[in-house]
Amino acid sequence: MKLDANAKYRKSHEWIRKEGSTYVVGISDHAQESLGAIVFVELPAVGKAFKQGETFGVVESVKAASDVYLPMSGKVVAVNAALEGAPDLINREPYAGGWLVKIEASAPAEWDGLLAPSAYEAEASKE
Amino acid sequence: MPLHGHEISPSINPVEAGFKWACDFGKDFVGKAAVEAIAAAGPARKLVGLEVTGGVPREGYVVLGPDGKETGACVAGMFCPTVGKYAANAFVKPEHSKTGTVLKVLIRDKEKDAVVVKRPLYVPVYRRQA
Repeated sequence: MKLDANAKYRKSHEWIRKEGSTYVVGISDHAQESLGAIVFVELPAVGKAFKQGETFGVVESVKAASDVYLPMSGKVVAVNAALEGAPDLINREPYAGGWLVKIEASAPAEWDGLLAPSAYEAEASKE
Repeated sequence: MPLHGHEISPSINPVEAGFKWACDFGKDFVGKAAVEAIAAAGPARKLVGLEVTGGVPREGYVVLGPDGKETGACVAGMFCPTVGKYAANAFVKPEHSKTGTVLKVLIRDKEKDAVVVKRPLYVPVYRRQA
């Protein structure tokens, strides 16, 4: 499975990466591979705030509809509009063009509690 | 094509599912009288194709009529790669089954636009111009 060395992960297969003053969130390569061809993404409105671990959207593939959980508490400052017309960007570039939302973290210390790439890889390969 | 448990099942009769043509009324079969009675009275619901925007319809999702009241439910739904659209098969009240009727599908408690379309959604090979 491909990993982004600069990101941290949740057991539920979301990744989060610091970019300047915001954090970018997406789903892992392992997640997109397990889901199969992604056909629809439902994202929250910009400005909406979520707590760590809260559902912030839905990713639907040909096989299943899956909730996605926010790895850190924060307010949504941007959503990936490109996914509306091309949800398969998540399949093609899970760590780049396939990002889901950008957030302004309200509790940056939560970062320390997330899984490092190697720890996530160990968790994901147990499945 | 019907898939057993979705478009046809012990609780779905062939008239509402649009398969009366597959019943041979010229000979006896189990349930013939019942099917004839339903055909004469007209079905209480009909199988239609829906094209949905803004979400993926799935089995069990409720369909609302133009009056905002429940008219039926989806029995199958998915993204159709050939036509690039989200579509469903649904049973709805006969008055809402006409092609072009604007309905709504409840997807995770949100109303999404749906329209009754002619099936199949693609142009079959035998109807394509050379």
